Amino acid sequence: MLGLRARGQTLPIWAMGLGAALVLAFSALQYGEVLRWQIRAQNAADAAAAGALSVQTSAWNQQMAVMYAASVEEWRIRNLLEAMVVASAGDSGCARGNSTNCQPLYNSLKDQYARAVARYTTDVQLMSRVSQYTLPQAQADAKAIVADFQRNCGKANGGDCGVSYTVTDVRKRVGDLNDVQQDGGAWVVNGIAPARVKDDYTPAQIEIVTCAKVPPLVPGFLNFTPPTFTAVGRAAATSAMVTEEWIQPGVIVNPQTGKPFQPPEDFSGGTTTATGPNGHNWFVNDFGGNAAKAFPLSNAYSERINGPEFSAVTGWWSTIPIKPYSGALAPGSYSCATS
Amino acid sequence: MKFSRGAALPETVVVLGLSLTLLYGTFELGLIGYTQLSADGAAFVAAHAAVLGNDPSAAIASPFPMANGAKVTLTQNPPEDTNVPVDYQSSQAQQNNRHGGVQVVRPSRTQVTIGQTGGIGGGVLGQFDVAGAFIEGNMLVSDTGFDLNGYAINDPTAKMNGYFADDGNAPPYFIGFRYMWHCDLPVQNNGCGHSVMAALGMAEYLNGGNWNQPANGIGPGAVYAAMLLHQQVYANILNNGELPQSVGGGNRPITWTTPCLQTVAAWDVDVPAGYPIGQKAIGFYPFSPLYRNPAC
Repeated sequence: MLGLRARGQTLPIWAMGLGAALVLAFSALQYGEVLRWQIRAQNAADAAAAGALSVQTSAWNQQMAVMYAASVEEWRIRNLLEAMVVASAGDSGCARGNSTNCQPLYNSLKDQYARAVARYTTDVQLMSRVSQYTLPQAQADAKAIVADFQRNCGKANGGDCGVSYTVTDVRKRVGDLNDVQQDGGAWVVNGIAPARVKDDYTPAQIEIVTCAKVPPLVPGFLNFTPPTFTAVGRAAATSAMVTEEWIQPGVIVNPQTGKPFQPPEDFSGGTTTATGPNGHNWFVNDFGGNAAKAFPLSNAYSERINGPEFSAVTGWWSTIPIKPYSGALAPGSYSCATS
Repeated sequence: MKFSRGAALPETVVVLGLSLTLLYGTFELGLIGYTQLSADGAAFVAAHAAVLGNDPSAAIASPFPMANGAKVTLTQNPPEDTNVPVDYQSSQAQQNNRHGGVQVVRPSRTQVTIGQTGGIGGGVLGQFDVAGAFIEGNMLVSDTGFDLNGYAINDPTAKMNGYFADDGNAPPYFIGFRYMWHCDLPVQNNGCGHSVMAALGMAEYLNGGNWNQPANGIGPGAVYAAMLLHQQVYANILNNGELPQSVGGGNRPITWTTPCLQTVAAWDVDVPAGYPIGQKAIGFYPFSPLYRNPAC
C-alpha cells in the first residue's frame, strides 16, 4: 500500500507544478504584452503630437526665409540708391578728375537697381502667398495630419495601425509670450510687458490621445476568460522656436565656402576708389558687421557702431513636447480601436 | 514487496526534491522576467513623466505596484553635440569681438534607472536585483541669451534653461540692425558733402510692432504692409523719373528731396557714429517704415 501511494504522489505534484508554472508564464507574457502596447500607444501619441503642428511651423519658417531674402535685397537697394546719389554728384571715387566719367557707372547702377527692385517685387509677392496662414487653418491642418496618420497607417508617413488617434484639443498656446521689440538703437527679446499678438501669430498647442483595445494572448480556458486590456497614450506638443540666431552674415563665415555668408558686392567691378567716411567705398555693398562686447553677468551686449552692419535676429520653428494640459480625459472623448 | 517498499521513500525524496528545484527555478525565472518587464515599463513611464515636469515616482506608483519602493535614479545628461561649425567667436577671450550668437533648444538626455529587488517569498528563498533604464529627450535651451555666457555651443557646462523659462518663448520674430553710411548732402561735381550713419527702417521685420495688425499678408493694415509699401516706393523712384538720365555737367545730382526719395529717407533714423548700443531706452530711435509722401 505504501508503495502504491508513494508512486501516485508524483503525478499530482507535477500537474500542480506545471499548471502553476503555465499560469505564471502566461501572466508574465500577458504583463509584457500590456506594457508593450502601453509603450506603443504612448510612442504613437508622441509622434502624432510632434508632427501635427508641422504646417504652422513650416509656414512660419517660410516667412523667416522670405524675410531674410527680402531684407538682403532691400539692403542692396538702399546701397544702390546711395551709390547712385554719390555717382550723380560726380564723386571723385568714380570721376577721376571729370564728373562725367561717372556716367557709365551711373548707368550700370540704374540697371542694377532695376533688377534689384524686380527681385524684391518677387520676394514681396512670395511673402504675400506665405503669410496668409491663420490659427483656424493650423487647427484644421493638425486634425487633417492626424487623420492622415490613421488613414495611411503602416505606410510611409503613416501612423500605427494598431491604435486609434484622436485630437482631443488644438488651440493657441495658453500663457504669456515674451515680447520682442526693435528700433534704431536696440532690440530686446523678453521685454518688460508680455507680447500682444493676434491668434494667427500665437504658437499653437495640441493634445492627442491614442487608444487600442488589446485582447489577451490566450483567449480563455476552462471557465476563465482573461479581460481585454485598453492601452491609452496621451501626448501634447507646441510650436517653438528651436533655434534663435543673431547673425551678421557679412562677418560670420559659411563653413561650406570658408567665406562670409554675404561677402561684399562691388557694384563697379573694381573700378572705383573709397572716398566715404572711415574708408567706406560708396560703390561697394558691404554687409559689414560690428563687434559686440558681451557682459555675461548683466545678460547684455554692448555694441559700438563703427561701420555698416546688416544683421538678422530670428530663428527656426519646430515642435517640442509639453505636458498634456486639458485635465482628466472624459470617457468617450476619444475613440479606441480593437487591435 | 520488501524491495518496493524500501525504494519508495528515497525515490519520493529524489523525485520531489528534483521537482521542487525545477519548479522553484521556473518560478524564479518567471519572476525575474516579470520584474524586469515591470522595471523596464516603469523606467519608460518615469522618464516620460520626468521630462514633462511630473513626479516620476508618483507616475509609476499606480501602474507598476511592483516598483513601489524601488530605487528611482534620475540623471540629467547634456545634449548630444551639434556639428554646425559656425564661428560666432564665442570664447571668453573673444568677448570684445563677438559677431552675433546662437541659442538652441535641444533635448538634454534625461535618464531614469529603476532598481528593483525581487524573489520568491519576498526574497526569503533567494533574492535577485534587476534594473530598467530609459532615456527621454528633455527640451532645454542651451547657451541662453544668444550664447551670452561665453561658452562654446557644445560645452556641457553651459547654462541651460527650460524652454518656457527662457526668452525664446516668443511668437515668430525677425528683426535686426541695419546700419549704413547715408550721404544726406550730395554736392554737385564734388560727391558727398556730408554723411551720417543711418539705422535703416527697412520693411522686413516681424515683432511687437506688427503682430497685432488686423490683416495677414502684405496689403494695407496687414502684418507685412510695409513690404508692399516699400516695393511700390522703390518702383516709383524708377517710374516717376526721380533718377536723372545723365550725371555731371549741368545736371543736378540726385537729392533726397523728391517725393519717393524723401519717403525712403524718412523711414530711417540717424545714429551718431560710435554710439554704444544698449545704453538708451527702447523706442529712443523709432523707425517710420509705414511713412509715405502722398506725392510718391
